[in-house]
Amino acid sequence: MKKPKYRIIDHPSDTGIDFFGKDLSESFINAARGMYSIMIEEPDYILEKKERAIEIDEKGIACIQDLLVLWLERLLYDFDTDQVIYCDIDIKEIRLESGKGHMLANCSYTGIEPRMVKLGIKAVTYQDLYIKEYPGGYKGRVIFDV
Amino acid sequence: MARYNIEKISDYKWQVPKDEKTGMRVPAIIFADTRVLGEALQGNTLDQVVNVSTLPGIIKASLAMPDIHFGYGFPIGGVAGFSEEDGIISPGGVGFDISCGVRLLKTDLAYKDIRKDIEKIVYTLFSEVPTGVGSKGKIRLKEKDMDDLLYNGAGWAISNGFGSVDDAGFIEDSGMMKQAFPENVSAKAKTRGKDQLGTLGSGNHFLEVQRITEIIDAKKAETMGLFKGQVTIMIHSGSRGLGHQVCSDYIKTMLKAVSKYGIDIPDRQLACAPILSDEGKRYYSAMSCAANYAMANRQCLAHWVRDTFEKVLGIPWERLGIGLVYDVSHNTAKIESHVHKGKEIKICVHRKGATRSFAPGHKDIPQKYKGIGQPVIVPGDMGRYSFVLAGTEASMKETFGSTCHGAGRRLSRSKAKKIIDPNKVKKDLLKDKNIIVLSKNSSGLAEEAPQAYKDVKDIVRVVEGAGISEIVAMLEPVGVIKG
Repeated sequence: MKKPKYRIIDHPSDTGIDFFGKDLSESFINAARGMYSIMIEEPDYILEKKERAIEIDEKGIACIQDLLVLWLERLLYDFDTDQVIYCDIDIKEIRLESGKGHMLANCSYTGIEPRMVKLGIKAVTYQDLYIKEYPGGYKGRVIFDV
Repeated sequence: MARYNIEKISDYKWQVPKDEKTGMRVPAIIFADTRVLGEALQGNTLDQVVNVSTLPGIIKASLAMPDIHFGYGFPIGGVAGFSEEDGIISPGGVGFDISCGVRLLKTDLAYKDIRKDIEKIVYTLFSEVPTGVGSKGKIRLKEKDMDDLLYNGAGWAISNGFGSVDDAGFIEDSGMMKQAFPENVSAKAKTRGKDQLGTLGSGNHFLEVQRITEIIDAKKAETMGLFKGQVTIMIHSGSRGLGHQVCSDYIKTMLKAVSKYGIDIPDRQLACAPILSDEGKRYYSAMSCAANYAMANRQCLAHWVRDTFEKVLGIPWERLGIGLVYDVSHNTAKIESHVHKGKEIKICVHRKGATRSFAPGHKDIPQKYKGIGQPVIVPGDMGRYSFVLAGTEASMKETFGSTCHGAGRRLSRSKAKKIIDPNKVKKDLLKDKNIIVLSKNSSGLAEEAPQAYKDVKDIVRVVEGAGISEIVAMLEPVGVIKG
């Protein structure tokens, strides 16, 4: 049976996802897909694709979860300010080294029409946040403030 | 959920004693009756109330209002006061939507006299007021405008033609939190906020045209300018992307600060710093800026409301008597003077999903209300009712002048979407209650349906029973705009 990329989880007042991947990169991509599935009615609807590289370089990153938060926050920021979503994501680099988090992703993005939007996410939270390696891959959880 | 010994203090007040769990510095106190207590204790909510009681410098108790529910670190519906001298400040104790709040506008109009115009008013509001996710406002802020706005709050909006100078006196802090220095707000936060001023947002934000269906306290209602059958307008919105980003930015700052200052926290979302530390002061300042943005936002939204009524009815809004009853914030941390152990001290009161409820005579409420107490606006849901209350002397003693903020959710969002048909919600509200509901996003209506929320009557009954607010009037929706 094919493993899901993500699933929406129940939360008393907000919303969140469990996400999965065969490696760290795929799990980060599926976390993004899961977040978009909460926000957008038709995540596969493409208006016009353009290319953009996303680079995250941040000091004081204690763990991979914190890098995940930065990644999803970047996607939220671009959604909020440019009204775009990233549809094809190819993570080239993802690492933690001496308290520094680094990611490089080549992405294609598209604009969104208001009719596609179903729920706004205010922020990525640290509540119940985790990402762990298991036999066969990675899984994690993230809760969003809506 | 950890099990706690909960002691009954009165019919409306319960306590988890200080010695119930290692690390508690003060008791946890829950304002509830037996009817709402069970819901208040669901899941891990009480764990969160207890966790807050472990934070340094906390005064009196970790307080839970009757609409308490699970949040991030701090519960929603939580109030906690920390000594300015040696206590902490925490973004988790304020929330992501800094100064999310409610504004109540009154009119001189009786519902029965403009009933035939309500549909046009609601539809025009829907087209005039920017709503929904990613909505851009009609106002584009340049960098200098943004900094002026963050410093001056509602005053910026008023001086740029949005509303009247009289409005400022009927907003908490006169629409401007001091200590709001824009250099403490990141460029990212400013970018997120620059096109969103004057937008309603989405989720549980709303703009509602209402009528007053019941006056419970005639004297207080008269002082507030409220009468039975009156048309009112309620606006629920906050600091939009700017506030969300400020909180996200400073949670990271505080996660580093807890190590620096050796603060033990049972939950990362309780990340904090001493109030008087560099990090604490910068967060307080940035939070003040975001609160000013929120108050300016509601000022602009009120402007579109006045414009709409003027346009539809063909009468200037001033002659329609569209005035501001009060504007309250739900998510803030404020340095206030409170009496503790017989002495007046400065306390940083965190209200996360809780409303200020100052007593009659308090120096920080408008002169007009000094005889009756601060108006408290408590929204319910789109199908039933909302309430106006007034602050009391008891709230100053019991809760640092605080009370509930709303109904609280009964169903999770995913459960609501599974079992509620959004189209039926709209149809039934119109057919059964003559309530027009307009929304940019119909699937969100399931999540915001009346049955997804608790009955706010149960909540306000508790705060009145506990003596921390007094019910003044009940308002029912006739038209609802959702993002």
